[in-house]
Amino acid sequence: MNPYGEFEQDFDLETLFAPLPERTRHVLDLYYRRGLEPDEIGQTLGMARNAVYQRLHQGHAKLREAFLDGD
Amino acid sequence: METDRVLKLFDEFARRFARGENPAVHEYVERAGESGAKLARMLDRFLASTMPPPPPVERVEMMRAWIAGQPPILELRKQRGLTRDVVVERLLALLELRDDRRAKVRRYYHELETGLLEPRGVDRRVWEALADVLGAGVADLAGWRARPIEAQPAFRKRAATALEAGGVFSDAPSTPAPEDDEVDRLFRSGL
Repeated sequence: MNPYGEFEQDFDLETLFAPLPERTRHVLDLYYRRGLEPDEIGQTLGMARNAVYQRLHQGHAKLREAFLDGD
Repeated sequence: METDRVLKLFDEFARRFARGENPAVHEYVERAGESGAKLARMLDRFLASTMPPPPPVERVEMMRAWIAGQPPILELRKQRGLTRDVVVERLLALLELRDDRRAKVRRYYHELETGLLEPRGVDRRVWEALADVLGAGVADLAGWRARPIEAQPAFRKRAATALEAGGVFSDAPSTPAPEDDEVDRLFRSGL
């Protein structure tokens, strides 16, 4: 048994966000890996600010699930 | 709610890292309180799977100089096309020193630039002023240390010579003598 198995699996953003739609993953990538502001993400991807926030919310929900699952 | 607070900390850390900053993991873990261990795991996975952004140009320049055995500050000044006199003039202004301190500042700056002065002894205000003049980060400038094996920085040579001669010179930050003026304190009192 690999004692680090869980350690290696949880909180991997790529794995966590994999089930989300591609557009949402683009938003999350720009947010977490490029550090762009929501407005900048909207400009980059041609999306309305609210749409960006909705997709960020989806990402946050995934993170929340992973966080609570670990309890 | 605890979960929201931790997720907010994760967000903040991840985005600072992505912007090229160097957030301290331990500070975030401490801020997470009882959930610190879990936040640490989140951050660990994030850092393990995320490429850091490219370093700023000036950091690359300084590292190249360091590898080549050249004093990074000298290399950075050359890259900026600044003369030593211009740097000294700006230091005098930024540190609010009188004109009659120019020669002393110039001497100290020369020693710092050429590795004759122990960087740890230089006050943070000097590093901040230099960062402003040279367009570099304070941490990049102040964090420079001589290469461990090949480099024989002059301040170490000078220390050895002084010790051999029975002197009391130390390469550790020193306490200024009572007669030292503001310039001495800025360049030799420590961070």
